[in-house]
Amino acid sequence: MNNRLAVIAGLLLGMLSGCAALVLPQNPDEFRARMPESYQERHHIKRPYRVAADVLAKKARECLNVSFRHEYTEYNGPYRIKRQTTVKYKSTMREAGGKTVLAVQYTNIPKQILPFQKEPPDGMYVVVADLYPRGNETQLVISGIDSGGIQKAIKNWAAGTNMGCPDLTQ
Amino acid sequence: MMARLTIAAFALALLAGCSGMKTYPNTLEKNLTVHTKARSESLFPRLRVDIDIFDVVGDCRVEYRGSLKLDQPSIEIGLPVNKPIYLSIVFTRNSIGSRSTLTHETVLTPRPQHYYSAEVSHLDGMYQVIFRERGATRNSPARVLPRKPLTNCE
Repeated sequence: MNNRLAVIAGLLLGMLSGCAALVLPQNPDEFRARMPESYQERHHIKRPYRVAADVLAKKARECLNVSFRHEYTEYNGPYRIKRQTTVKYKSTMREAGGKTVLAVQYTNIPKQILPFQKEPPDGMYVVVADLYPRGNETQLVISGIDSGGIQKAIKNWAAGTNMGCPDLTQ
Repeated sequence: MMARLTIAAFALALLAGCSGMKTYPNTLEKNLTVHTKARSESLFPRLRVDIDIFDVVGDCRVEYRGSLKLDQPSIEIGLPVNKPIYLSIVFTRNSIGSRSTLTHETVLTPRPQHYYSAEVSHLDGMYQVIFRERGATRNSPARVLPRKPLTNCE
């Protein structure tokens, strides 16, 4: 009897933890904590922290608060259905505890994520970049899935090597 | 392979036909030069760059005048002076069965006897649009114009 209860309890716990993994990170800290090491890039930027942070703030405002239209055809048996979504990116920057955190969120309108996954109000987090002062230079740590070249753009902006915006439609 | 290309070309033609795009008449004295550097990384998705030109007719309201393809290294455009014009650089990526459109907009109020230039680039997945204004002659010093959104838009 006890064994049977233990098996059921174990199964329930397993299911619950599985469901918890489906709930999306609700803030940059949760996102960063759930990113495996292989999804993190570390860069040493040969520029003062203040310069890198200011450039990042300016470029994020300009390039990472965008929305665009995506049209596609869905094939289902004999039917071809034209679909259209608006893809929206939003960036926020916060300076606290001696570092700057840039977070990028992504959402589709109409929403495509199921309610139980609890998408944050401005969309799921896709990239979080942390800037740390290192003497007269800067340490940049980028966590996330490479979507639309955001990581590359953040690295370029911080280093001052390319001031273009990433084409997030790709 | 040939059949796929034919289907893709047909799909693109259909998409272009359905786009509702009207050619901007471009009959006014030329005061804007658009320099474009754009490169598709592959045959599909294919990148296309256009400029859409609108009159600003009120707070957050525009009226479409027409569009021009930015498929040449540079193109001269005549914009009306002393009135705000809403310019939208449109980057469209066409693939088989899908299309994504990204735009970069600004409001420009061309001044008489002033020249304007726009540097539009889309290379290696990064794009940039810079508008500049110069004085009475084409050789006058240029200043970068900040991006100006439409007013009172949510």
